Amino acid sequence: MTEPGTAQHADDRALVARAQRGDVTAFEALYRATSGRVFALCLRMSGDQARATELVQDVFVKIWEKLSLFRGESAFTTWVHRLAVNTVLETRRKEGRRGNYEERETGNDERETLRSEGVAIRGDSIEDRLDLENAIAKLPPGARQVFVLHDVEGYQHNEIAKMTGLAEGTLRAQLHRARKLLMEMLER
Amino acid sequence: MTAHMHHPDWDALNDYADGSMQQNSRADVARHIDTCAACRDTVARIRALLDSATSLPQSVEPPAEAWTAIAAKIDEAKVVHMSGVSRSGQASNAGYDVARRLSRRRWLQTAVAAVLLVIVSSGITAMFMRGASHDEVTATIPGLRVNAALAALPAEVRTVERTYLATVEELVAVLNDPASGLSPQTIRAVERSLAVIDAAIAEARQALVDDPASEVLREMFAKTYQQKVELLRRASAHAGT
Repeated sequence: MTEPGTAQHADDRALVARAQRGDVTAFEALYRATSGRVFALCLRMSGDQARATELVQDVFVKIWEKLSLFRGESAFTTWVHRLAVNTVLETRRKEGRRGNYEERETGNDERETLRSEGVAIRGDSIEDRLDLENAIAKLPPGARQVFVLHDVEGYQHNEIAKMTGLAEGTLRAQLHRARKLLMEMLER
Repeated sequence: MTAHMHHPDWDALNDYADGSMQQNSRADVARHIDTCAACRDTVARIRALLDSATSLPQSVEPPAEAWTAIAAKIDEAKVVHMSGVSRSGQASNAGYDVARRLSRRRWLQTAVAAVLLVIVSSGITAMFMRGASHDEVTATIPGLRVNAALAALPAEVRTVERTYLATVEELVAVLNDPASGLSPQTIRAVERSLAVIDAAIAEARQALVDDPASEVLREMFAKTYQQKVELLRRASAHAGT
């Protein structure tokens, strides 16, 4: 979705207004426009496709329920993203800490799938991205969470501290640990 | 920490690499890195990792079934939210909106019954308007007992009713359109609701037959039809939403 002041932004606000009045078709259009970013966040925060699919559903049901609270002070995408982060964090707090490493496939199958579909793998860029995605998924949950929020999504330490309830010093330590683990996995 | 004696620790190198280090410490680390290949390499690797992280796709398409599940949960939530309160007990405008829409749907259900009743009643009346005999009407609608005196309504009253019936038939066509999306259950519910309106029309008509000169009865007859038409007009405006 778009920058304030543009014609497209006015259309977005119209969609939001219709969805706030219960128009599911308008809400679906908002979903189509914003779900990609939300799913990317859920996928990286959870490290698991099935879990991410459940989370994105939880997020958008919550968005539907809370839509009347959106007053337009921020861009709709910003509001959605913040709600998504809070939902994912809250879900994780409720579920409690799990075992640390969530093993995933190394990504070899994904590369083979891409090759078989004729996707040209130029240089190492796609392989690098797949490696990094897989490596993020293998991080311990706490480290993964902070790395995704700070280094991937761009939230500042003070914002993450507010969202997670953790001290900035703790967050910083988790972040640095995440980077160390990632570099070890990627440079093996 | 001096440039030559101490290597910055892992936390310091990270703070330096991502720009979060305090200004007063940056200079010291910078001087050390200028002369230490190992630390310079570590900073470069951290920055490469950060570049890769920010280069990851911002958007990843969710599975197609995600929206199907969301739509189903929203639909389920509409029933729960009828009172305007969410499952968590917090007020939800979505619930109030749904309640308003359901009220509108119930009103729409009422309108549809009027359609069916109008189809029957207007069909009979229309036949009389065209001059059909009592026998012709009952032959068309087996089992129907029709008061032959209906045909004896004053001409001007029949003209008024003919005008209303034309409008009713147009609105009936809109509501009978399959695209209106009204279910058989909805139609049955509306039938029951609007039976009262047609009963009032029938009573007014019979009263006019008994006392065709009564201005009060003529006015009552016309107003009852006006109410029916207005209800159908509002129903057809909402059909298909």
